[in-house]
Amino acid sequence: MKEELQIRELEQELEKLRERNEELEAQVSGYKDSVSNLEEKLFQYKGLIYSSSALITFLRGADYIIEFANMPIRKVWGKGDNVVGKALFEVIPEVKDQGIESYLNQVFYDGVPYHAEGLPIEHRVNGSMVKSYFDFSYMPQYDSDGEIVGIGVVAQDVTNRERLNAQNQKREKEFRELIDFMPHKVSLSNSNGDPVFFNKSWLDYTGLSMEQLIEKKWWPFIHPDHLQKAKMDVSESLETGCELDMELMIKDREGDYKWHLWRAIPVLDEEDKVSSWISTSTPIERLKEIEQEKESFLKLVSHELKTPVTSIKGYVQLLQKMMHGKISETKVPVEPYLGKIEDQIERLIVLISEMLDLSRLETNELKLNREHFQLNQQVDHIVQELSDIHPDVQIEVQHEGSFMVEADRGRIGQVLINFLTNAYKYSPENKHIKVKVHQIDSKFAAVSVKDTGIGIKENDRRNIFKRFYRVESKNEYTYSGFGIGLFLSKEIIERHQGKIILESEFGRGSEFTFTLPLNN
Amino acid sequence: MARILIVDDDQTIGIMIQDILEFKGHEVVVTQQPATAKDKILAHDIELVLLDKLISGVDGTDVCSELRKEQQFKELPIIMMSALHNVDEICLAAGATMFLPKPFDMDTLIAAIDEILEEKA
Repeated sequence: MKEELQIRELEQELEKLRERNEELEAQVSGYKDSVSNLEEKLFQYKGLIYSSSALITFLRGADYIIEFANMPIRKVWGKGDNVVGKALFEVIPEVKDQGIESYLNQVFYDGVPYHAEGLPIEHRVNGSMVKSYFDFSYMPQYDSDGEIVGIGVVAQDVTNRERLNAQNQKREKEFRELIDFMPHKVSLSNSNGDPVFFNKSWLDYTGLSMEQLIEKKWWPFIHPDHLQKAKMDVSESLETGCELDMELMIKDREGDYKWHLWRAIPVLDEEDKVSSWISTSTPIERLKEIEQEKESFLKLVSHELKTPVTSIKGYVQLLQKMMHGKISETKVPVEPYLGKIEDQIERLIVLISEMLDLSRLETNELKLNREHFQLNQQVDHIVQELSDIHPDVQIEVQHEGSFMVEADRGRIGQVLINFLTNAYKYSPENKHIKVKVHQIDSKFAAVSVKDTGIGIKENDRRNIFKRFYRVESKNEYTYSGFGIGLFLSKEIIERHQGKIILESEFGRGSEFTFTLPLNN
Repeated sequence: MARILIVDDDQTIGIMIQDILEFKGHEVVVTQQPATAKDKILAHDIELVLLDKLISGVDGTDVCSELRKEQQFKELPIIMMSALHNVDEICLAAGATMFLPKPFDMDTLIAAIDEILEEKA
């Protein structure tokens, strides 16, 4: 019995041991899995480190023995593959005195990580010294007891970036010096229009510092007469992104206002949004003086010319009256010649009047005598007058309604005469002109003058309304004149809140239309 | 036909107007001194005056309004003329019967004078 009992106990014990054995086997197999897992992970990390473009090395101990170094760092060292197991400064002794040793010591002995950006290092590549720039991280590495055993180094060769930075800095310095050297006043503002920079010319002119100018902005220096328009133009420019271009007076350090041409352009970002503003102010004081001298001279000349011409015209008319119907005894064709003299005097008077008008326009003396009148009647009147002077021209008038306007009757007549004489002048062959009095919309009446003449080239179309612009031609007679007529017409119509519309086809003819606000 | 006084310091224009008016059969007196205007009007029994806006530094409107102060010249036709723009209202306010902008042509001048003389008659 006792033996049986012992055997059973032993069997039970054996059973327990078997179970325990199975547990242990399961554990061992688990550990094996973990180890192979770890090996796989290690392999992945190593792969990561070796394939990284970053420069990575691990330095062990106080002698900084290279425990491993990836391909990129070996390439920078330029010492081949046999570097593992050697001390760092044995491999690249040239960097020892460039501060590297003290940085490493700091990390190794104090445990403080070290980071640097764009650090210049001179090192030997293929026998010659090369200067490169690096971003660095030196990290202390610990063992399981928390003792520092080495340093992990991760670096990046940023030589290209640093060279680019240096180039940009150099360029910026050059541009700044250029801008300071310029006699123009240059300023830069942010997208809100607040100034952030003024060049030296601004500082010298106002006698203020950059900070003072940035705080005050431009407004205290702009002449009160120009301030409102300047502010309006600036806010329009800020809203629409259009260029700014105006003449105004700016106060200098002595308190004197001087004429400047103020221009500003927006700088757009990739999304076409205004990112900043560049503005320049160019002194045009001398230009203004010359302009004023020119205006007074123009005024004087045209005034002085007018008197003798008026007198000549008076006598010609007097002679015409005296000679009318009488046949000269000497058979000299006095009457037709007097007619020709009168035509030429008429041309001279038109030219002088244009010159005088121009000087009035520029000195702002051209005033409108507005009255309420019927546009159709004035058109008929002018057409009749012109037909009398030029019997060879056929003018066909079409009235599409009856229109009342409030305008300067004489000036509107002047514009129509200008359109008609142009149509006549620029139609050397077919002098058939169509005039139409019509309505553009509910607010505007219009007069159109259409010819079948030489037409206007596209690049001339933009310019013919500028003063003194003349279309070039081989035939000087056909295109005579000062080039003021259309400029004056445009100014006159715009002062009536109207518009001039031009349609033209080169070689086929042109149609000029002016509009006037209706006043029925 | 009428007796007309021209007050203008511009000889060229003054003489031309004189010639034109004389051709039309008028009797013409010319003076370049505005101060003598009143004497000339009385001495020649003038029926119409052509007065320039600016005569030797004197403002023609002053001459005009001085004349208008006297009862005997209240109805006298005075045509004021000027090469300056936008002075028509000033001249009319000073008492001018009519304003003629310079330069005018012969027909305009004759028509203006005829119109005024007809009205007067």
